[in-house]
Amino acid sequence: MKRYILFGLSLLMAFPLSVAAQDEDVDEEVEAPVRKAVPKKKQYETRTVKGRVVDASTNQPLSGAIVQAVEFEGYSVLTEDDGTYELKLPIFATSVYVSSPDYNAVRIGLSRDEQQVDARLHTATFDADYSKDMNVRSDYTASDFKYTNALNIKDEIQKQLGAFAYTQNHNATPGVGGVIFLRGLNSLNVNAQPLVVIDDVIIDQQYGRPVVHEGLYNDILSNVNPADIESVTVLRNGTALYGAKGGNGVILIKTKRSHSMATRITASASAGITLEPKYLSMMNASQYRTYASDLLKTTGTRLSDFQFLNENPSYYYYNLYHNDTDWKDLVYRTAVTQNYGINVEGGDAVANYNLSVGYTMAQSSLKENDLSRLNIRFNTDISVTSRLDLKFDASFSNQTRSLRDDGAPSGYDERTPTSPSFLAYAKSPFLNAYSFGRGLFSDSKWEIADEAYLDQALSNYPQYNWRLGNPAALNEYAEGENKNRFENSMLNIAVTPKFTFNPHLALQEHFSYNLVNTNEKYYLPVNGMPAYYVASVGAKRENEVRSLFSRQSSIMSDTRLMWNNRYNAHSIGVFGGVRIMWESFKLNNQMGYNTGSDKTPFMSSSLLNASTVGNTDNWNSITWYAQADYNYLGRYYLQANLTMDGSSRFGPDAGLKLLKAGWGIFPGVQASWVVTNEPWMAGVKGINYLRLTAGFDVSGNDDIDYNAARSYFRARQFLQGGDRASGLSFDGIGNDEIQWETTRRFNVGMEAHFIDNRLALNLNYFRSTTDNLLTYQALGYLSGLEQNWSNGGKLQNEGFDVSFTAKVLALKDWQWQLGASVGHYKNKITELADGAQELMTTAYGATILTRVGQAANLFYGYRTNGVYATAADAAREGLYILGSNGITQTPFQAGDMRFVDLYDDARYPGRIDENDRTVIGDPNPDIYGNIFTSLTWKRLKLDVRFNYSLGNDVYNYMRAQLEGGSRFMNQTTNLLQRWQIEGQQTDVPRISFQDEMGNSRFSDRWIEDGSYLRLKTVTLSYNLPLNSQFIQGLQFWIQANNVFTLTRYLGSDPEFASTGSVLGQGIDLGQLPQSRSIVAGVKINL
Amino acid sequence: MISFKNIYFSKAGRLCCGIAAAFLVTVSFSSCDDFFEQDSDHVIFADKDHLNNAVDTMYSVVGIMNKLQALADRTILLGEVRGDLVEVTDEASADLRQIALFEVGDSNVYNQPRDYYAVINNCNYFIAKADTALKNNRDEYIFRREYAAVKAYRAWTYLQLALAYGQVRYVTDPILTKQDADREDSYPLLGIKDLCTRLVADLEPLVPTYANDFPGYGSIAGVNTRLLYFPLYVMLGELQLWAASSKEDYWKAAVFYYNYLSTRNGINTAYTTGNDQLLWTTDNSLPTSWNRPATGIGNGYLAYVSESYGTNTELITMIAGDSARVDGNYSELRNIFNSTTYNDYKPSLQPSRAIQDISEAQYYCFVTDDEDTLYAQRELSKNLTGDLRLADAWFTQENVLNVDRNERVTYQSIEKYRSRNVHIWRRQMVYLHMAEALNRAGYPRFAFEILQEGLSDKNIARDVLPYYSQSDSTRIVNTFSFPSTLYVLAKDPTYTQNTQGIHSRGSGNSAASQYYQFPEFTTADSLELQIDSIEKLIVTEGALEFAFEGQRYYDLMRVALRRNDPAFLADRIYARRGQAHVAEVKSEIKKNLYDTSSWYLSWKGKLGLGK
Repeated sequence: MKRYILFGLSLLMAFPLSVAAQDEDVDEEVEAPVRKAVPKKKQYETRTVKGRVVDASTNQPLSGAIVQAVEFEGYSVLTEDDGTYELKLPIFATSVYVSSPDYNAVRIGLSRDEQQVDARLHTATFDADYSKDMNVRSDYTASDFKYTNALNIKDEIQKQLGAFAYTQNHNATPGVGGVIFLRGLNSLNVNAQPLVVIDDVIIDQQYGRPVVHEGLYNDILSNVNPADIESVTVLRNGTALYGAKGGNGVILIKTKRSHSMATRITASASAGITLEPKYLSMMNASQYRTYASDLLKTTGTRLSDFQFLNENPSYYYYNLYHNDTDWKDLVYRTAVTQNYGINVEGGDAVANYNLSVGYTMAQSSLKENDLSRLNIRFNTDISVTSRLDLKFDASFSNQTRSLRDDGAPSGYDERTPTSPSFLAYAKSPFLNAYSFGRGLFSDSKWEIADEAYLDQALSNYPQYNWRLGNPAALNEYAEGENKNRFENSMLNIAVTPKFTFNPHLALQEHFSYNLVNTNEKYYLPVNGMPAYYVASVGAKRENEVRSLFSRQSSIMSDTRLMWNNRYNAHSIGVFGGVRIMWESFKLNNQMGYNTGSDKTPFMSSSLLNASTVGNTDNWNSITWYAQADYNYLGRYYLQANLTMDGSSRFGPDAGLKLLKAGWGIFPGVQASWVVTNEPWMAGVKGINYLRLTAGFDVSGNDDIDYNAARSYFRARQFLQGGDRASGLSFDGIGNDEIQWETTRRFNVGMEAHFIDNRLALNLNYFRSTTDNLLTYQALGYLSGLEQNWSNGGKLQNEGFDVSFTAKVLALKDWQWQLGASVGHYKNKITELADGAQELMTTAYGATILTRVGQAANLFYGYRTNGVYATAADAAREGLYILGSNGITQTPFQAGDMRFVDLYDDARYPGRIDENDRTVIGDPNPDIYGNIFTSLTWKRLKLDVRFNYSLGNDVYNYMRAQLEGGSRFMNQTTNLLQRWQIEGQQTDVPRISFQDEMGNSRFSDRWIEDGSYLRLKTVTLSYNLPLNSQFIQGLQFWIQANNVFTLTRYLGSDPEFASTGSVLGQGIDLGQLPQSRSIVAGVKINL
Repeated sequence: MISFKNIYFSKAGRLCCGIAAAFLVTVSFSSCDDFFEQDSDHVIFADKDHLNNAVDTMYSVVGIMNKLQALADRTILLGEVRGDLVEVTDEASADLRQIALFEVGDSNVYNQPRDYYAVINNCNYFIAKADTALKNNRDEYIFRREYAAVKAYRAWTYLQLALAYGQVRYVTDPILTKQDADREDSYPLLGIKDLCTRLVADLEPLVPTYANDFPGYGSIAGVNTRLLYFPLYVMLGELQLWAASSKEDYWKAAVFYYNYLSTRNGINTAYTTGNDQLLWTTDNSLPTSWNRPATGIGNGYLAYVSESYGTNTELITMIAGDSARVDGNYSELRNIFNSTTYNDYKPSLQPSRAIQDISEAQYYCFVTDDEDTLYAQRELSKNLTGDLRLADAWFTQENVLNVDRNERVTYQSIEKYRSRNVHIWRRQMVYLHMAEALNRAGYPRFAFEILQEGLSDKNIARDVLPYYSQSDSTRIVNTFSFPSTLYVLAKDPTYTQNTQGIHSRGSGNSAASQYYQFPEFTTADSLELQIDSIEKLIVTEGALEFAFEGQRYYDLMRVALRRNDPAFLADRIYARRGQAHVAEVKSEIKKNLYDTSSWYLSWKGKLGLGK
């Protein structure tokens, strides 16, 4: 199959390539005119400044460094041999920008005098301090992905942008991505993840779209190879430009374009291994046997003679039930990853191109979860005529995975656990993975007979799924291209012609077509999985098959007119235009039971309970936008933007009603003052640069249900049976006023460089309110329908991010850099829809509370205070629970959890019920960020990066399953301390089949502190100087990831994200934990 | 695996459009609402035209049937559990117990007015949008039958809502936006009588053309759709019976019911009560054993009503349900009334002492071949004393093993709940309600005939007409006709009997019974006294015939309101557990049932007279 992709791609790529080649031919024959428009240089009154440029570590003068006036083109000069320069520049220029190869550039504010302070340049082995463009909005950019082994750029965002983007990986499955929260939690019920803009194209991330496998997240960004990325910018302020899409912040990704006319070829290859993760400590075979035997006593069975409890070694079934299997050995492994890439850039005066091809093969340390990915990207810049430029970009990527469910099951009513990773913990260790016959185990054939050791005892519970599958057999029989596969591909084609009328005025059209196809097959085999009861069907089923296909096509047209000019000290730039987007998403999701055999794993309508669900969501939007940039003397900067958004997802009466549609208006303004460009600040010792920024933005979140604005009917089945019929009835009543959520954000910030630029400090504070929260609210009862989306409720976010970077050592051969970032947000709900004071949501047994005055997404459950040691203790407190009929009272006994009776209801003293719940945890971190340091010795560089999160609570759902003590599943060794005899002091309650007292209910037993500090990456790289004709450079690197994690968290990994939505953060489903990995790579420049 | 062919060909059109549009961005804004209007393969937008062809219409009517399913269980439960014929068991859900104790909370699943409006809004949309002028190529109106059926659905739903809440928000236009739905106050609030008067006016123009003309959808999943409609005459009778406040009004109601009976099966046909009886003996000789009646008592001989449709079948209207919970619209009534595996053999409701008392208070009468009038023995076990209908409907067995749980339970079966479908109207109700109307119209003897011997012109002439004035007699004869050739009473040598007094269904030969004779009064106000006592007989007959079918509470309510005597309802409900336990029940029901406002539900302060 891969062959065809490659073939198709080569066809696709051949076309633009040959066009470029033809151009070259033409150039050879006809003398090519100089096509670049030379900007007409305005004549300003000038003055002369003088200064010197030196190497900051050696104090040696630098010759050949470029000194140029900031904000004025065409005023630059090279330094002399002694490092001095003399530059004539307009009297309005207030700073110069000094750069030199192999050095980081600096900016220097100019004093009124002719003589300026020395420009001291640090070597480029340090991180760059300044960029050429003015950073009015305090954007934060990362651009060094040289040695990344990441499959998804979010890894690098976490490592490099630490506090600027709170990032958590979903789990450790290769390329599965993660979640990012910028500036707190800006929504409650709809998408709170940032907008992703790749090369100026908004790429819908399909947040909230379904996938079939548990533990899989279809992160669209995994389609972009980090090696192809030039820079990632986190846009936290100034998001008004993105109107109703910018409320959650914006991540701007720029892919590589050619910067040189010389052809440069870079080939890279890396390979590595990923070690097995940290495991929970589980009971061994005999401990589990005791546990199972104890639990049996609570099932009410009158039997006492069970095969698995017979301890006579000569008994026929003795061997069958006396193994000590570590199922993890069969499921986990040390994984291998490989990554190859080639990048070609080059061009001439007419056309420049950058072509990259990458291939990645990443095994997962969980067997059968491997990824392979192919990427091709081709970016060109063509100068068609002196006035017409054209960018043509095309990219394609394709990921293929084999997959299994991963993590703890959400429940046991619909099936028995299906994930090998979970079964490896839960499956009884006294069973064997291989089949048993005539008293012997096979050495090659997996055990596929259903577990039988509890058959007699649990025969009265036909609807109870207690049999567990054999994870090794499951892995084998679920293997196949037609069984468990995931494939995602993204194709993007963008054409951007730009016509320049004159040096001040240009018109550009950006047209993009993006296609994302997802294809997923899911198969639970007959062999390896026991038959299980499916509550929603009301019957037992043998196996299950599902399939999902989705296709999203997006067309964007962005037309903009750009104008700029300078009037002496005043510089003005304006652009404005209209962006139209047509989006279409189609989804088809099918499932059915009982395929009959593992040889026929196909979805078909003849399967039992076969069903199909689908969506067709078409939506489009028009955005009118304008932005003006103004600066006076290069000291005072003002950026203002105004966006007007209309969308098919808005109600016709939303916001500003104009031309029969509702429109949102989003203004924003950002102002900066570069204090060091004041003449009186120039030369002040110790302060190299100081910029203060303040701004205010209004932006929105348009993640409105596709049909919320309209009333519609849906077909429903009327009566089940042979000649059934379907009927149409109202399924939605439209909300004419439905609109985007509005976020108003105020920000202030400071960027400063001190002491010869050896200390950089970046400080930002923000405060925002989001109102008109999209909420599923009750409809008026006259509509006949329960709910629809409406706007209501308000929340606040307040926080800061701070980063500093210090050049601790700046010597000729040694450079040591140290830095850290700290981010913080405080979220607060200030109002809920319909005047409600609180909302509760349930997920994985947890109740999640959203209450006015508190942060969103709090864990709300029972408090516990140990375990009753004696019957007398229990009786003294007299607590009880009420049966479902509202009459029966069951008292807590010895060995039960001592729940805290918080709500003192005079009518029902001692009743433990939902009124006794309280806030028991908060998944929002207090602070988060990263710590990074790098040490360079000559050409050898050691780069170390930590990331951390402090003060976030975790609901350890995985532990609740493996320490609940109510099911026939292997449990952690913690259960060895379970209460067993009267008087026993312990904090682990008695075990009890089906947990009638709710000892394992959602309580503070399962809430843990998820704080951690992780040594995320250690990279050692070496740049080999070569002066060969063929090889211009050679870099070697070796990288260790997830080297260690400091945490008190009891689970395998404190970092995870089971969902991208706000409600549900902090629930650990026990999906594949991140583990140590080592990668070595080489990069060759040809 | 994606196919490149797909990408390039199927998308080519869109791409071109996109490019074209891209260069036309200064396109006029006037088309914005078109630009933003999207279509979908999966839903039908209400602002797009549909309902302009026969197929859409059928889908819409079936959609309404679908919505009606949500009302099935509560129609029965609200009408029964609040009455005096059942009691909740310990297994009953809190919601059910709330109903029994008249303390129904806002979140009670049976207290959701929204579900009624789900039917009403779909009906309103259909009524507003269906193109009733449209004809097919045979020049027949396509939509009018559906139109009449949908109007009847709406009327029935409104009536149920009004009976439960004492009032409705009367909405006749479809609600198409959230904003419209929120404007509750712009819709009038109507009480039961006002509502019924309006609905009678709404439906009356549709008869007689559509009285018995229904959309022909054949059978759906084994259900005869003929049983899924509310016949207009019965609907009108019901509405008129609730709306009535004068003799004329009641007369009109009686005529509606009569019109149904006389037209249901076509011109010159009859729709008799049938002659099914519960019998102690089949041969009119003395029974040899007093504990085993001849017909299959306890097997639902009468209680189980067939769901077929024919000229002589009992069932008129039902709401169909799915056969398994997972299929969605599953009626829980079976599991509420009966021991099933779904409820661990523990039903939530059981017959009360009151229905046993009512049943035992009857006298089973039979006439032997020798013309001896005999009465069945009293103080028999298994509810065999008196009327046999309770024993037929209610079957219990002690000490039955529940194999799933390995425990012994008392098995209960209410034979009226063996079906997945919920029965709403049946033939005996039409007769009994006609009797109620005739009684209040001033003709208690006519009414009593329905209870005691059955109707035919022969016995009307003998037992009814002589007691009324010439003008009244003429009016009766001119309006009602039960030809003796079509309505055959017992012992007619020429024809087989096909009709009888309702009371005879459970109490033997009522005409011969000395305990079931028309009360004679000699005072001046004898007519009023007759009406009063016949009304009580009708109410009692309703309990015997319709016990557990959700009619009782509304029968008591209607009569109590009519008499302006809340105690008529209150005293009976307080006596649920028998007269001996009135104080006990009163202490449990905290509401004062002598205050009519305690009779109704209320929901979130938005709807309902209940306090």
